[in-house]
Formats: sequence, C-alpha cells, structure tokens
Amino acid sequence: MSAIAAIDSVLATPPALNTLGPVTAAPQPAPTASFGDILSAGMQGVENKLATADDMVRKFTLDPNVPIHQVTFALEQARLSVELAMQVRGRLLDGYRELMNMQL
Amino acid sequence: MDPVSAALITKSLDGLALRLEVTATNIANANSKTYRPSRVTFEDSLRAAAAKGPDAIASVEPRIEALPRAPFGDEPRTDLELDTAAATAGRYSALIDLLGRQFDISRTVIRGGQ
Amino acid sequence: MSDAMAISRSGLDVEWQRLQVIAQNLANLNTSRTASGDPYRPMRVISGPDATFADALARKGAVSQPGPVRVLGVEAMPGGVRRVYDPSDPSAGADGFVNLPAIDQASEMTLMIRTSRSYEANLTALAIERQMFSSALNLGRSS
Repeated sequence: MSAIAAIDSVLATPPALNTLGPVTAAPQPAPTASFGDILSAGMQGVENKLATADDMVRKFTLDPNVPIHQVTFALEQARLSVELAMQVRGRLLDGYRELMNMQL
Repeated sequence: MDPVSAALITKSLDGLALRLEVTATNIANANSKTYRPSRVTFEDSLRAAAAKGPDAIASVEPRIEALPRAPFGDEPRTDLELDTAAATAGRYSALIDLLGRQFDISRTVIRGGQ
Repeated sequence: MSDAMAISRSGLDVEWQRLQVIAQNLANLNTSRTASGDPYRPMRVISGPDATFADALARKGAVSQPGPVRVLGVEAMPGGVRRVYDPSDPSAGADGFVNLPAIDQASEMTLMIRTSRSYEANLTALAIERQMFSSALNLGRSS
C-alpha cells in the first residue's frame, strides 16, 4: 500500500504537465484528488488539444486567410501532449509491473 | 485522424494539382491566338460539402471554367498566372506539411511514446 | 504534376521555335532574292493547344482543357513586298526598283521581347512545378 501511495505522490504534481499550460478546466490536482481523476483529467486535456488542432486544420483547408502558424502551433501542442501522455502511460506500466513482481 | 479532415485535405490537394496544370496551360498558351484561358474552382463546393460529411466531400469535383473576358484588352495576364502558380504550390506544400504532422501524431500514439 | 511539367516544357519548346523564326525574319530584312528568285517571305509561328492530346482527355466543348501546347504551323505572313528605288542594286528591275520583304523591324522586336518574356514565364512555372512535386515527396518524412 505504501508503494501505491508513493506512486500517487510522484504523479500528483508532474512538473512537465505544467509547461503545456492548464491541462483542462478541471480543478488543479490537489494532493487529495484521486489517482483516477488525475489520469482522466490528463486524457481529457489531450483530447481537447487534438480536437482543437483538427479544427484548425479544417479551418485552414477551407479558408486561405487562416494564418498557417496558428495551425502548426495547435498541431505541435497536440503532439507534445500526446507524447507526454504516452510517457506517463509508460511509467505507469513500469510501476505496475514492478508492483506485480513484488513478493508479498 | 478524423475522416472529415483527411477527406478535406486530400480533396484540396487534388484541386490544387489540377489548378497548377490549368495554370501551366494558360502560361504555355500566352501566345496562342485562339486560346481562352481557364481556371479551376473547388473551394466553394468544398466548403459547402464540409458540413455534410466525408461522402459529400469525396463527391466534390474540381471544375474547370473559362475565365471571364476582361472589359478591355484580351492580352493574357501571364504575371497573374505566375502568381496563381506560386500561391497554389505554396498552399499545396502547406497542406502536405499539415498532413504529415497529423500522421506524426498518430505515429506517436502507435509507438507508445518510444 | 508531371503533366504540368510536360505542359511548361512544351511552352518552352514553342517559344524557342518562335524566337528562331523571328531571328530569321530579322536576318533577312534585306534579302531581295532567295534561291527561288523571289524576295524573302516573312514567317510567323502559329501555336495552339495540342488538340489531339487534350481531346483525348476530355470531351468538353468551349472550355480549354489542360494540356501541352505545340506549333501548329509556320506560315508566311500576308502582305508581300515593299519596293525601294535603288538602280545600283544587282536585283533591281528594269524600272530601278528592288523588291524587299515587308518586314516591320519594330513589330518583330516587339514580338521578340514578348516571346522572350513568355519563355521565361514558362521557365519559372517549371521551377514552381518541380518544387511542388518535391514537397509531395516529403509527406511522411517525420521530424
């Protein structure tokens, strides 16, 4: 149980997430928020960024006056948030595997 | 990748490629006496089809229409044609780039962040 | 894309030939007698869409379909000779007049400038098409 609490505290305030700006409109992850809430808030953020990027691409395709830098910026933000989510997923899996390998 | 966005981009690329061909023909025929310059339109039909979904988008056909006659002087405007060619090529490159970036994102998910 | 490049290349070809004919006209400004005995006849290149190619692609009526251009023919210009009084010329007739080709140097020069500009435009178009072609090859080259 202490191992789970350790993972919890490590992931509760991931510094990298903050560099991308506010992830969602959800309340800031507080030490009392559940693990599942943090995860789903993170995924929602990725979804939003992907949807924004897709919307920008659509706008650009139909209207030549949309500035291209807005589109590429939105796409890069989306990509970075996906990469971060993948990294988090990887760490989580590693932690889970480690847990499962422990003799209890 | 969203099917509507993918359909919009590929259809745009088709239309732009045709536009370049027609523009090249207009430039090559600058000194052909009986030739009437033409142009390609597809943006308006694409915009209308965008709201209706991927099938409507797929059925959009870029159209070649004759350029309206100038009020005076029928000299071919090769300078404007060159501008059209450059703008078309630029827009084409931009769409290819955006398509590539979207593929990148999908690739990131597939690789699981590796 | 390769179609567009073929079209621009055909434009280069046509304008090149047009330039050759103009140069020939200018060189023969004062040719009063050719091998046939007549004065030189000024020529013009007539160009137009390569109809056989374009028609094969589309059957539409009045709207020009994309396709290469070609030389339809090299024709003698109407309006034959100008007569100049010069009894000392070996080809002068009994009345002392020489028949010379009715070439207007100014119009030939104007057409030459126009042809040369058109040639350059086709060259620029070719560069643009090549660039568009290579940008398509960049799809999937991820960063």
